[in-house]
Amino acid sequence: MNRPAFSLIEVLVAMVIVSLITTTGMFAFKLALNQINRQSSLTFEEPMRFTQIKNLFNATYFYVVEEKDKFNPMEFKYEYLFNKTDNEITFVSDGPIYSKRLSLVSLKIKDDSLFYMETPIYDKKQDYKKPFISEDAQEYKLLKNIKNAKFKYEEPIDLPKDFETKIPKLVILEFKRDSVDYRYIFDVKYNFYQLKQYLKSKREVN
Amino acid sequence: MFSAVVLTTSSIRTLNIFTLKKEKYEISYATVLSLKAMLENREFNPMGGKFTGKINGFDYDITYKILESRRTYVTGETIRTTGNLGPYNIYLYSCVLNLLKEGSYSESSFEILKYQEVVSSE
Repeated sequence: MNRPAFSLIEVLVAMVIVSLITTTGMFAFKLALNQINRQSSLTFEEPMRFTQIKNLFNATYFYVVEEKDKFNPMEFKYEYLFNKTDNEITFVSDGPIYSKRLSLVSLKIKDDSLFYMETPIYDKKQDYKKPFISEDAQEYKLLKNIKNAKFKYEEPIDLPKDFETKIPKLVILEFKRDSVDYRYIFDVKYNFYQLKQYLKSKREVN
Repeated sequence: MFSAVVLTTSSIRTLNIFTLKKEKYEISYATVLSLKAMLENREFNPMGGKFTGKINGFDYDITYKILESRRTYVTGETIRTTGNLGPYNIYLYSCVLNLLKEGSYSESSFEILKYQEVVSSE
């Protein structure tokens, strides 16, 4: 009895076509996945934020609080500013994230996130402003999903007696994420050379 | 049908691997820099030494040894912002940091400079 059926050649051709389509599909899929991977590797958000916060602390700076003689910088009174609590730090930094000017910056923990604000410490005429974050300063979210977060500080830097502010050597951000305890440690650099230079020049003037 | 299942499974698997790798890299980055910041504020023994502990879900051990030590004698000029600003002992240490987490292991090395002001006896 002759039943209608595919010949061997037809089956082989069909198999070749199917395998070609599958191989091409898999290859295209792999390329697409590589593309996704490459794109996502360019946006490592957390390391970028970590570096931004690190740079803020590494550029802790002193600023003018009093001008005895406007034309003689050696007659200025300089001071550091470093207000610290368990959930907020305000200090002066020469490396703010969004501007290139010496700024008062603030890091604040709220709603399981870390928020950042900055405002220039001098106005455009280089006049001293009161060290407060201005009301129109914009708030940016730096880190998210940080539960039970708080700041801790490790022993103050031994500053010369001209300065009253206590700056910690290390700022530690402690938080919980996915039931793991995390500690992000930042070292505070207070521009040692500029400070020494200033104190030395002041001594020579006096 | 079969190819659809295979493709979906393999793509999900690959994406998971990439995500895990990314998370691991992100947390290692912050951990290494945190440990480096911590080390820069720790006293080092010129004879060498070791620190061990746990941080961010990693077990770490850091071995350090001195590479070079020098003393500065010349004081820089006042008007310049660079140069030596007094007599200092300067030590260069090399540190090897090992991070271990769930069987995976990574090693990184870096150098750390330590300054010690020489107090004049005059």
